[in-house]
Amino acid sequence: MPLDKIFSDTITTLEKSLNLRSFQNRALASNIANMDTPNYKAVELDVAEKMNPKKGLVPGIKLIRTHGDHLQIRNYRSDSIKLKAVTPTAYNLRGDGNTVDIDRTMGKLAENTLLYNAAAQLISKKLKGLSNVIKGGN
Amino acid sequence: MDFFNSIQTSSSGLSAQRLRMNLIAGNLANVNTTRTRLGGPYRRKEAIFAAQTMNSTFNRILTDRQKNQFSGVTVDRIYEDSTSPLMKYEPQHPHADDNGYVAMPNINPMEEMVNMISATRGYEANITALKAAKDMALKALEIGR
Repeated sequence: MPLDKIFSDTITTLEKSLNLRSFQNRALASNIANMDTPNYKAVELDVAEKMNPKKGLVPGIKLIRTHGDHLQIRNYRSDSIKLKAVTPTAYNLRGDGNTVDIDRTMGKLAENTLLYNAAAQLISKKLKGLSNVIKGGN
Repeated sequence: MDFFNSIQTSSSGLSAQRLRMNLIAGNLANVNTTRTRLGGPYRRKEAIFAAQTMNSTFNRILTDRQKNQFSGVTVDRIYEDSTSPLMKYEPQHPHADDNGYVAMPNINPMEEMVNMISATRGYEANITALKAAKDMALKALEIGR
């Protein structure tokens, strides 16, 4: 059994998730810092492109799908993330041209932190599991 | 490290909101100041914010301009209100003009209070963002422990 199979793709995938989340955190911090800046346009990660299954397929792994609802293997490459301007809500009553929705941003921040912590915990547990196997359960 | 940039960005927000709060405190403190060093009544001050790229090196600024418009906030300038002062009839006042009117600062305490609440909320939001980035970084340090 090749050594890299022990560590499998779990850790690599989770690592990418961590990268994406920390990047997202930066975007959110930027929006929050500029909540009162006139004419500031809020930014968000452009995830739509990353969800493109053809672009995101993990190389070397094939998954035969016989049904539209079957799972797809996706791989996120955090080095090619792009930012886009947030589409302002229909009723933006601010007259200063700022498009930061602070309530939505704070919600996203909380969600982002939780999901980051979850991914970090998963990596931690995965490593603990490996360690447990290596030590033979002792 | 994205986290250090996040923390820097949030810190810039904190310092901008604090400066805004200081100006509001100054405006409220000087609501009755009829003479300043430059002569004339005190004029209301307000901070004008502008977005600012946080990265220091040229290369990073270049790449950021190309795709990522991440930015902190900076106080672009401090705007001094140019509206005419309120004229109050007070003939005994040492700063009264020939007609007995004293020029008082054109400060609306209600407006200042509203701005103060806005600055407080802005400060709190930045604190939360900073804390989130710190918690995430600490969680990452726990991996493998």
